[in-house]
This record gives sequence, C-alpha cells and structure tokens, in this order.
Amino acid sequence: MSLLELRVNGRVHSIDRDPDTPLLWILRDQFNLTAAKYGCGIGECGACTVLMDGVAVRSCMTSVSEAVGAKILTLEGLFAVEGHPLRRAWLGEEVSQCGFCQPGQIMNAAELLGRVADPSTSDVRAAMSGNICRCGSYPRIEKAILRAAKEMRHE
Amino acid sequence: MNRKSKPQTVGRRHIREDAEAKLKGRLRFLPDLRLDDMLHAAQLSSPLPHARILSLDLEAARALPGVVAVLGPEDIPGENRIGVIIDDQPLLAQGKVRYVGEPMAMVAAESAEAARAAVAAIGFELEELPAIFDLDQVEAQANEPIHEEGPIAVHQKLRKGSVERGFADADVVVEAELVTGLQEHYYLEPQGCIATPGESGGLVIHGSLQCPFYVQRDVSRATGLPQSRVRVIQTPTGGAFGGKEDIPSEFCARAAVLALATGRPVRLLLSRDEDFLSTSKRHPFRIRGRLGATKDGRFTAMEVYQDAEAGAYATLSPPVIYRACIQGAGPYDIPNVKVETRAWYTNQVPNGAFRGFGSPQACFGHERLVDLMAAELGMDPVEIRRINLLREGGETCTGHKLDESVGALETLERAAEASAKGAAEEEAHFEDGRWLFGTGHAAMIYGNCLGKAGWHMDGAGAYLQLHADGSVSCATGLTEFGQGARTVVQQMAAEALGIEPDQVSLMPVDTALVPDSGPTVASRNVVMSGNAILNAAAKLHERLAPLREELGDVSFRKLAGAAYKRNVNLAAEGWWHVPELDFDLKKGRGEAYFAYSFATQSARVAVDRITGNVRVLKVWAAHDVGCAVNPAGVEAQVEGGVAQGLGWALTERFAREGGNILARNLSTYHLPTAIEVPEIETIIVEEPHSQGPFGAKSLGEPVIIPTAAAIAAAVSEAVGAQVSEIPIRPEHVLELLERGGHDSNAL
Ligand code: FES
Ligand code: FES
Repeated sequence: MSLLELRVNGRVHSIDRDPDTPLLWILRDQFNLTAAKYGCGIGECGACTVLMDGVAVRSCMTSVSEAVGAKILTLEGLFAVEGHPLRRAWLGEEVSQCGFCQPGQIMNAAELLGRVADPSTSDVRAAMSGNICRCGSYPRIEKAILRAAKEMRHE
Repeated sequence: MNRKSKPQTVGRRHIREDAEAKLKGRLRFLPDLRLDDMLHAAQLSSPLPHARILSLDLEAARALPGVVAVLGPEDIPGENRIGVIIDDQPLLAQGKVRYVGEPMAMVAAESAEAARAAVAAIGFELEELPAIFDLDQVEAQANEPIHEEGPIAVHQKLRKGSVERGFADADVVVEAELVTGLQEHYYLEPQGCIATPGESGGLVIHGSLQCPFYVQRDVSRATGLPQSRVRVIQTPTGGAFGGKEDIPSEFCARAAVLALATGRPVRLLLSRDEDFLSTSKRHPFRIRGRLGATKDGRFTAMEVYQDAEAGAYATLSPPVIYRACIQGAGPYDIPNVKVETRAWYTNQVPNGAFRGFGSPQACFGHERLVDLMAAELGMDPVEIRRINLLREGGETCTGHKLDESVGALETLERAAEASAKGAAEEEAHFEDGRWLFGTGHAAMIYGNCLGKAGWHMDGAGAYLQLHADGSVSCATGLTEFGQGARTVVQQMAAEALGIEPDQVSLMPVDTALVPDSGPTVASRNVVMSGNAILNAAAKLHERLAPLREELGDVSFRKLAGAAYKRNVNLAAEGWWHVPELDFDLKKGRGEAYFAYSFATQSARVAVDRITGNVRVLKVWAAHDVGCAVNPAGVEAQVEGGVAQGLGWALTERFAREGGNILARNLSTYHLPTAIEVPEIETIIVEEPHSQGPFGAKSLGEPVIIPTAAAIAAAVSEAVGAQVSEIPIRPEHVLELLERGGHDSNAL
C-alpha cells in the first residue's frame, strides 16, 4: 500500500492502494465511476478506455502509479457539461445498442477529435479499430464521429 | 376506440428510451451494483474433459481466512439438476465430469481474491476417461459413453413428398458436403449475477440475463424454494445474443445456493477468460445435401443431413436442432424434401443458443446447394431463386400452406436490384489485378417465436397502469439486451393507447410484475409483448369508453384524471399466446410456426489473389419484417447481425485441440472491428401478418442468418470455385483460386 494522489475529472483524490492496481478498479471500486467497463482485462476490447492527459489508455492495463500526476478524464467527466458535440452526435446517430462498449468508444473518439480536427473515414476506422462493439454499431460510431468533428469545426 | 387525431408512433424513427442514460454511463449494469455485506463467489472447474470424480475434499478450503462457504454437490439443498429441456446436466458435477471447465464445487468469500484462493485449495482426485472431441469421433462412443442414454442428444426429422421420386424427376442433381464452425458470443459484458436473501426467507436475483423465468424455475429447483419465493430482476444487460438464455440459470442457481447457505448477498461474476472458456457457443455443423432440379431450374427435391455437435450436455440443442431441421431446405417451394438433423454428445463445452438458433448453419447448407445448382445449370443465382422462392399460397418444406405475409420474393428483387449497382466507390480502393470481385446472394426463412416444439411456453404477459396524470407504467416479461425492443414496446404501448411514447414508462423486467412470459429468444419480444400490450390496452379502452362518451373529445390526461376520480380500475393485465399449431413432430409435417419472416442479403467482396484474404465491400440486407415499428431499430439490428455474420464467415475461427480451447482471447479469436465491417444498406420490406402486433414479425435473428451464405457465394463467384466451409480461411481461398484457374504467380 502507498499513498497516491490522483486527478480525476478535475478533482484531486488521495488514495491508499497498491500502486500496481489497475486504474480501472480504482475508478470503479473506489470512486464509483462505473462508466469505464471491464470487458476483458487484458487490453483487447477497449471498454475500459479513459483519457490520461488527453491520450486514450486502457485503464485495465494501466497501473494506478502510472496515472499519478496525469489528468484523468472518464466519460462522467467528459459529459459533465451539457451539450458536448460527441454526446449530441451519439444521440443523433442513435449509436448505442446494449451500450456496454460505448463509454470506451466515446473516450477513444474524444482522443481522436483532440488530435485530428478533420478526420477522414479511414482515420476514424483506424483509430477506432481497437474498440470492440459486439452489437455491431461501427457504422453509426463512424457517422457520429464525423458529425461531431464537423460540429466542432463549426461547419 | 377513437384514433383520429391521435399521434402515430408506430413506423416512426424513434430514439431509444435509454439512450441518454447509456451515454452518461448512468445505466447500472450488474458489475456496477454494490450491495452491503456482499460476498464474492468463485467456482472450481474441471481440468479434464472426461473423468470419474474419485474424491472431493473441501475442508482445507473451508479453513482459509475470509472464506464463508465452500459447497460441493452434496450441499445443494434442492435438486442437483439444471437444464431447460433434457434433464442431463448437474448444477455441480457429480460422479463424472464431462468437459474442461465443468463446475465441481463453489465458494463464497469476503473478497474475490479469498474466493479464488479457496478454489485453489480444494482437493480432488480424477480418473481420466477416454474422451470424444468432435464430430469425427462421435460414432465411436461405445466404450465409455458420455451419457448412458447414448451418443445422440436430439434427433429431428422432416419429410415431405418422396425425395426418391423427386430426384427421379430431376434433370440435374448436385451434391455438397459442407462444414460450419463454432462461434463465441463475446457479449461485451461477461456473465454475472447477485443473489440476495430476502427478509421472508426467499431470494431476489439480479442478473445480466435474457430469461428471468428460466432463472426463477432453475433457482427454485436448486434451492428447493417454491417459485413464488424467487424473484428475478433483470439488470441492464451488455449484450447476450443467445449466450444469456439458459446459461445464467446455472450461475444464478449457484449464487442462490451460496446466498441461502451464508444468509448474505452473493455475487458471481465471470472473468472474460472464464466466460470465454466455459460458456456455450454456436453449434458446429456438418451438412451433406443433394438438390435436384429440372433443366429450367425448378427444384424437384432436396435432401439434407445435418450433424451438429451438442457438447457435453443437451442444454438448448433441442430447439436449435428443431429450427435447423424445419428451415433446413430454406424458403423454397419444393415438392419433395427430406431433412434429418442430429445433435451428438462430445466432451466439449455444451453448445447452445446463438442468434439464429441453428438457422445460419441451415441457411449456409441450402444456399450453397442452390448456388451449386445455378452454376451447374449455367443460370443466374438470382433467377434460380426467383423461380423457386415461396409465394403466397405456396407450401413450406413442412407442408405449411402460407396464405399471407410472404415477402420472400420482394426481398430478393430489392436486394438483387440494389446490389446490381455494385460498390464502385469501395472497389476503387482496391489495386487492379491483385483483387478479384464477386457478388453473392442468400435467402432465408425464419419461423417466428418458438414453434410447435416450444408451443407450451409461447405465451407472454404485459401490465399497463394508467395514472391520474395520463402517464402510463408498462411492464412486460421479455428482456432488452441491446436489440432496442424496449423502445419498440414503448412505441406500441403508446400507439395502442393513443398517447406519445414519452408518456409510457417502462419497468425493469421483474418476475414479480408480470406472469411467466417464457424466454426472450427466437426473436419473440416484439411479437409477444406487442400483442400482450394490445390486449391490455383494449381492456383499458373498454373501461374508459363510457367516460369518453360522456366527456367528448378531451385530452387523454383529462380522461385519465376523470376516470381516476370515478374509481375506474386503471390497471390492466394483457396476455397473448401463439395460436395452436397443427404439426406432427415425428414427421416434421404441418404448421411448424405461426408466421415466417423472410430475407435476402447480398454481399460484394474483394478477394486478394496473393494472400487469399477476403474483404467485404458492402452488404445489402432486405428483410420482410411485417411492420417496421421503429425503422431506426431495424437498421441497427441489421447492422449488428451482419457484422456478426461476417465474423462467423471470415474471421472467427474457434480453434481447439482435443478438449482444450486454443482460441482463448481476441488475439487468437478475431472479432470483426471497425475496419472489417463495411457499409450495410438496410432495405425494409413490410408484408404484414394478421397475428403480428401492427403486422410485425420477428427480426432479431433473421439479420444474421443469410450473411455468411451470401459472403460465401460472393467469394465463390470471385474465385470461380465453390466455398464449402466457414470460416473461410485464406489458405482455403488460395486452394479455391487454384481450382478456379487463377494463377497468382502470373501477377
Ligand atoms: S477491459 Fe480493458 S481493454 Fe478490455
Ligand atoms: S453497443 Fe453493445 S457492445 Fe457495443
């Protein structure tokens, strides 16, 4: 155990945990931020994706000690302010089916849009290819990201 | 009922009622729930595929810190049995284990780590027995049978006319031997449940599941509690696809026994690894078939033998086999048909329900035969289907005369027309010369709901409560797990009452709210719940009619308020069951199902001549859904089904070696991703059925059924040789290319 300081969604938390604990379990069990999901635990599905300093990471494969000092953003934080373009786009394109993969998809999309203002279809597909959706919402995710990108460019 | 100035909800695109909650991450899935005082469960799994259990020693595990209960088969208070139809499966293995991963004992502890440590401390001795691993070996089960009753778990026959006569009448006969592979569901949320002891000695079960009434029955059986003391509440469920049909009953029953033994809530969550290795898959099939036709392309006879691998227990093999058999010769009007379908026991994880219930396998069988015949006759694959597809007044392969709602031909024409335009835009990305292109088509028939074999549980209830402010609470007994059915239910309730959908609040599915509505399988939800809602709404309308007369054209809200003040009973229960079916189960003759959905899908592919890789460029999916209550939902279902069908056809190779699974995770078992899933165009055909709510028919399973067959046809066209096995592996494609006369060295 050791005392660690984490910045999550703009708040600073101090926790006493084994520094090797995956960030996913700290977010879910300790902070009750349950949007990030456990889908595989070995970095293969993307359901646990959160942002660390704007970069998408698999929180199941990120130890909490690696997260110290970074700004961590989860879906709860991303959508805390009303009217995020990704949220509108996700609703507008009716993306979610079972919804379980969606928090991870959206966080990954948020990273992409933070990097690339005007992504092409193949940029989107390549960037999203590590996030599994077994319900098959891929075509809609693609449309939603392109739509949000457009809105963010104020077109 | 005065419907004039009422909103029209059915048929309008409609945003899912839970879309907002899902986006905010606010929907609480099972793993997101925390209960005070909750224990964590874990299971001891058999390391061997077939063995006698010589001893099981639980004492050392019981003595570990943090361990509250360690239970073996002797500790189950009720019956040590589980299983929907055939009683061949124990809740915890007794005497023998029959597959790697079969649970032998279970633990409840203060933490997940303590539970795992206890499992590791359980002592046992196994004496290994000879095992049967696949369909090649099944006939050799003589020495050490997996079950005393014999090697065949289920056997279903279908006979129409005389195939001998039909083949004698044929000018051309084609034959094929075909193979289809296993498929893992990989719902994103692994299996999980929580069992909580209730105050009055009963149990409340929360779970990620499809069939709360199955769970209620199986928990009652394992615990010895009456069903009335077992309440099951479905939590939002992160995908299921059939994989959470009967399987959750096992986990819920084990958690329930642990909760009763400890007096505390017990949570049983599977890791992805456990889920992957120990829960049901799609049955692999071997199909041998013959098709006869006249020179001008009329089918005279079809004969199909399907052998399926059941795995170690029968679980849902009976309905899978029933459906595969009944639909084995496809959506064609053929005078002479013989289908024979068997499921064989092996020492593998039991195979069970997976979207389509044997239909995608059956469809691959009949559609490959049809394409072979088209090739043999030099006929256009669309034309040969056009000649033979069922029409109104035609007879299905079980001899069911169809008087209404046969959209088969229209789906074919629309898919063929749309796909004839090709996918030029996508093709432009593929280098000239290296890639070969092809288009394929596949048609299917899908019997709605459970059919004759499951008729005794093909009823469903609904509960509507009108409040004084004009809003409505609605409960149904069929579950949502991503298919969008809740939204459709909400729309249908709104339409039936003449109000806006946002005035209808849906309750979670809870066995305490509605009568046993059977399982949420076989694409039943919309048809069954819709009809039950219509029944309940009619009762409410009848009770409101006198007031309506008296008050004239007032708003629904005013009407409800007035009715409330007059003590009108504003709660109504609805019920609907599938009409009786005249069907001979032994011969497979008659009305197998009360209604049928139809579809044709077309696929355009590019095949890499150098590597043998296949890329699907576009899929056109034309589905006769009777009535598209929510067209947006139809499109989403189609996209999801096609993506899964594409995976089954191309990338999802479930490799095994003996009793061990080699495809253990996504680096060895490839699910389609954003890169592989192409543009999918949904074409909605509406041939309403008189017994469907607003004319609607089943959709959730049809969407996956023809996809693999269409892709196989497209690849066959591209390479000039017929695909006979899925998943279609690059090595296989290279062989076919050679057979098709393509020399890759010439490139
Ligand atoms: S749970 Fe982290 S990638 Fe799957
Ligand atoms: S919406 Fe179900 S897994 Fe993506």
